[in-house]
Amino acid sequence: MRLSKAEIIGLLTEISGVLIFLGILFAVTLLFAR
Amino acid sequence: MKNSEISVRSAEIISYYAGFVILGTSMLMIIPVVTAILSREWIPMLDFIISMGIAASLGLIFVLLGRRTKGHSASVQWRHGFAVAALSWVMLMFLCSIPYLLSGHTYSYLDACFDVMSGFTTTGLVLTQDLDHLSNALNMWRHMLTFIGGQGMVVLALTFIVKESSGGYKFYVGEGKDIALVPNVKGTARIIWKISIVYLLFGTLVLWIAGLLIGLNPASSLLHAIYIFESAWSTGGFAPNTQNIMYYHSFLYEAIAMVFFIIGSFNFGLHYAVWQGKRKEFVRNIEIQSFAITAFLASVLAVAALSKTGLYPDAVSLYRRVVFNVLSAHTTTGFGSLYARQFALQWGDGGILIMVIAMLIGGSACSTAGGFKGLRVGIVFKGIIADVKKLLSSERSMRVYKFHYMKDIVLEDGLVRASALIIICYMVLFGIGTLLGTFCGYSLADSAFEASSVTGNVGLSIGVTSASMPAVLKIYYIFAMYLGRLEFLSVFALIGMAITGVKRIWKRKQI
Repeated sequence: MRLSKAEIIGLLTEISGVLIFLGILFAVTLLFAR
Repeated sequence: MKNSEISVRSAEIISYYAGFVILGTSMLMIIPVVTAILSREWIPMLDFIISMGIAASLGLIFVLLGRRTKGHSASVQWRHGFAVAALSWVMLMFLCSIPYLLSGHTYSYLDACFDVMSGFTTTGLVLTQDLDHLSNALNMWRHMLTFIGGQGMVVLALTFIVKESSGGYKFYVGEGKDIALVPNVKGTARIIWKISIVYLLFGTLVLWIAGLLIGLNPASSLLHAIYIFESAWSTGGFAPNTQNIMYYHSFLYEAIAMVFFIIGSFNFGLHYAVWQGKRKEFVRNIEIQSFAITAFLASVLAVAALSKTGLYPDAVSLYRRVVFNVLSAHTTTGFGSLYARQFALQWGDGGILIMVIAMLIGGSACSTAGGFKGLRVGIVFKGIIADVKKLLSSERSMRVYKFHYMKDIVLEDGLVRASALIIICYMVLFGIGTLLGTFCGYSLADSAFEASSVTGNVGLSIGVTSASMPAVLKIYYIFAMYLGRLEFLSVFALIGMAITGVKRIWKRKQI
């Protein structure tokens, strides 16, 4: 099973998109924790 | 063709394909057998060999009963696709629970069936006792069931075993996955499995490294990585230990699980589009927009409510205990970073209400997640907006409203109505579950929390689900998980066909 370049970029896009979303939520949590 | 002949023909078609699904699933028991051999667990190995023998024999009988169907897959109709999916899931529940019963870790066969249905439907509620001392073989089986259930068992079995595939798409829809990534149904199945396997390898590697960093030995870390990834990806929520995700005492482990259960709750069509280079789909898709808005609002509201209580003194503990559980609920995963009763005793009515709403909304359509899905919420919301705009605009204006879901789609009344109907069905199922819970003596908040958890195939518990709960509640929860997962239509089709068959037999007897 081989992955094309587009598929690897797609996988990384999904992971980075979710990480950004989780990061935003962490930033909001920081605001409330203060 | 006479009515009675049609009934017999339909029964044969259903029997033939359901038989293959059972046969295919029985073959999967080879994996726990191999796990048992590698772990030198001889008694669990025997349990699985016995179970495999029973399941394979029954599957073979079903195939033989419907053997006239061979080579006539074109005669498969929608109702057959629905009925095969609905019947296979019930049959598999009874067969796949045999190893649980033989292991001695369940008090009754009903409890074993409950756990299997919980696994298949990617719910994650557990009645199995003493999880910490379960054999590796049974743990492998539990997590395999939830992984396979998430991708679709009927589709897996039929696309890889049955050669002819002209009726394949009907089985897809029957199993709640109305998806055609490529015109060929086998091609679609292969794409789904390719995405899942790539993530399985990648996720297992990441979790294995995280396991090593928190002090697990390499072999144990690998097994835990496989189990937790399978549960996260399929939004299942099973874990190999009683304490669920809390067992690892690690923010890193929880954060990795969060990433994978959120990605797991996305539509396979979206994965495919993004992997094909259509990266804008990740932002434009109505389901992602719907999920991002509702998950953000639910998390912020819960954080705002619980930050006042002083239960969680810093941002990290708020994030780990509140955001983690809200996202686990919203994606219908069911990993818990709190003990069940903490929801009831510490979160208060506001916190419980946020969780109930998040659990009912759920993840994406055609994903491994449950709930009434972001797509339907988005469509109904857009439908309401469109109706309001129509009311406010000139009577002569003719405006077409659209939404983006892989492509621009016209927002038709029929689509809004169909989405609203399914949401109503979920709410009725949730309402009956809540009512039954209160009849059994649980509080309204506890009953509503647990009912939303089973209806949305989530798996978080507030403490109602236990081996000591009334049998009637266990049976209802099994039924709710099953209906919620198959999204009603398949089960209604099976019941309808059964009633029609009985009516025809009754009429023939009277003649």
